[in-house]
Amino acid sequence: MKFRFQRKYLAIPYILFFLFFIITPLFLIIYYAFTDKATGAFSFVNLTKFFADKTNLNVLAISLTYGLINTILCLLIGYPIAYLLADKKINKSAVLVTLFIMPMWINFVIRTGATRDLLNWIGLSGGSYPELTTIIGLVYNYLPFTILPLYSTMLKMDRNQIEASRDLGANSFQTFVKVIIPMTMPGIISAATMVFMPTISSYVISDILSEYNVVLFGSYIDLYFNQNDWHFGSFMAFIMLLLIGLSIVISRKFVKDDEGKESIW
Amino acid sequence: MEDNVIIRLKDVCKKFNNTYAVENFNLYVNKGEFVTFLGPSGCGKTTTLRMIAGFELPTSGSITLNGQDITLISPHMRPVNTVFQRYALFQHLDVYDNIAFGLRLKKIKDEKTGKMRKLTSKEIDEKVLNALKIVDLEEYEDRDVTTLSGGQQQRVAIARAIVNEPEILLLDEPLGALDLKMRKDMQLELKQMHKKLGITFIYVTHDQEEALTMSDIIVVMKDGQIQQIGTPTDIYNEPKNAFVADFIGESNIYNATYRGDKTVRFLNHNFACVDDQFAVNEKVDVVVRPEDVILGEVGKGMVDGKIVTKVFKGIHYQYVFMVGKNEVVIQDTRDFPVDSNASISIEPDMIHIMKKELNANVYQDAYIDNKNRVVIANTPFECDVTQVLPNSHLDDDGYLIGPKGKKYDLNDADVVASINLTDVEICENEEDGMVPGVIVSVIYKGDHYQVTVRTEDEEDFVVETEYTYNETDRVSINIAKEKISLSIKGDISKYEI
Repeated sequence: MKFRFQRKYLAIPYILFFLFFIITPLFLIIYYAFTDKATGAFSFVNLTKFFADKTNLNVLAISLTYGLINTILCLLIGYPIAYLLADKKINKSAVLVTLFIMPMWINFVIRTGATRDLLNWIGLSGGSYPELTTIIGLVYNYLPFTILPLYSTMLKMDRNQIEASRDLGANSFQTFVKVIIPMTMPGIISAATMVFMPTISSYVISDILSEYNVVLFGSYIDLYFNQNDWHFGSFMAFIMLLLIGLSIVISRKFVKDDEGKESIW
Repeated sequence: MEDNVIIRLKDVCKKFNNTYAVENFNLYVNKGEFVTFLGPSGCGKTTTLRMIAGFELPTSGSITLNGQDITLISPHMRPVNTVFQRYALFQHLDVYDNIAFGLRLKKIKDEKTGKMRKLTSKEIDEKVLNALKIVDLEEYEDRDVTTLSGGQQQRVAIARAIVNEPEILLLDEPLGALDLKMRKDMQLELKQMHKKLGITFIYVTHDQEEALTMSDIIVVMKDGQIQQIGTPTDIYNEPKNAFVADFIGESNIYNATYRGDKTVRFLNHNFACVDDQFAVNEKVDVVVRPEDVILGEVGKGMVDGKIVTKVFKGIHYQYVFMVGKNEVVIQDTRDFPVDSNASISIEPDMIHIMKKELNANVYQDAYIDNKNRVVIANTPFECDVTQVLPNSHLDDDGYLIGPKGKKYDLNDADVVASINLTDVEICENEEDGMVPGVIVSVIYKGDHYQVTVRTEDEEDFVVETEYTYNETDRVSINIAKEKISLSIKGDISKYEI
């Protein structure tokens, strides 16, 4: 029989990728999370261990707080920047947008090391101000990820609706609250998703900038993996996965159903 | 009379990047009128509307509403509301909240306490439901605006604007996105709404039929300037210039000569007409509407010719009738065979004569001869042919060499030549100039004379000069080489060799 090329064969590389890099790791995490380290048998030992120790929950709470603060700061700083960049009257070229996005392209370990040296130089060392340096580092790193989705939403924004709001008697502030914020909500949601969960699982930034004084959930997982405790580490990774799923479900509530299919950007 | 004026625009100009979008716009609108700004795209009609709404600020001039200067007032402080071209409904709100948007921001004087207060939710409810009733969308209040059809969204947009009881409702091509049938229905509905509400409407459209159907007053615009202000009947029957005639309805426009004594010559025939305010032998524009041309049997009308095309249009046939090289478009309900000889007649009061607006002598039929001269009125004039193509030059053989080295032979190329009125020189002596002619008209224009010299070929050269001449004087014309501007007709590539 002669081999006949069919279009569906083009899907094979993607199916293989999907199997090896998405499905298998996912099952591995779940497998390790619910097996005992010593015996390898199915058990809830990691679950009980996690919730029995207050330190674990504390790390989770601190991480969530950092995630929240970072998200809010990034939105507060990134929103006006994105708004100005998307206004064709003010920003006539794409160069400025590129400049704001550029930190994303620099290797992130180098970037964070440089941030640490810079902060040290102005007298903010990780030893004495661990929380502040961590926040500065987080905001600096995640700001481009906030600006980009906000910027693309604002480019598509129907400026007639802003005029309509002014026309109907709303002043600039009322227009902002009643029209511009709701209109850019999809961008706000994707920006928040791009920042919140990655912050919690990040560990390089907090490790380098706070000199290991601030421990986020990511570094906690890393700690157990380094001690070869794949089972407990996997269980915490599983918790993270659940939180991410939860945050996506919550964020979908804010965006209208028909827009739910839109890409994250 | 003056008390009835609701809005007045005085010498309003708007410049974008040093070009005028609107220039010296003067208009007043009476309370309760339906005024339409009509013109092709880019004529400044929307910009004018946006200046009334407050989205654009005039570069100069003033806008007064009820006697109060609102030129620089912010849009949210103006008692006008806009229906936008693309509706601009708030996608995140449902129909009810869209309509209630303005009401919730509004503050009114309480009748009992005399203090300013917000509307109660009961008052808002009443107004919103009433507005929905006016636009025929009862029971749609809970619908999501994204689920509505274009026509329904349009109605919501109208309701959202009229619910605020504005002094003036501005409508920016509101029906542009609807299909034909829907548009016709909405036109009538808007007209009825206007009657019922008594609000002044200012409507922007490029659709002349829409303007004629709906308006009390039409403002015809072109290139940022008002061409004519008048009632639909005025504009249709008495267009002020060739542009208005051409834009409003279908029309036949001809270059004609006023022969004096209520006769005008076009289509090689002297027609009787009713206008007499023109100089004898003055070149004029003549407009005849297709429905005003009467077809008849050959030899029985005023001008004979041939029917070359015939299209059935429902209630009438549309014919194209040729008189020599001139086309006449005719609408007639009677059936005539195509390709047959026939005749036409035009009643005197159906011939509308307009003054020609002259900025320059433009010769559409000019061509280049084999010595790279331009031929106007059968006379070759020295000229600079390299101007038809930027960065070009002539080679030793007289061929035009383009910027990319392409070679063009301009012999017999059709061009449009234009010469400014001040750049034509009159020589007292017939032999001194390049082309002889007779002075057919001398009009005094305040500080100079506008002299028309007609050659034997019946071409006119209009000259602005400070010297006076007598009519019927025989003179001649000179034009300096650098004063003739040329542009090639069509694409220059067809002359490439």
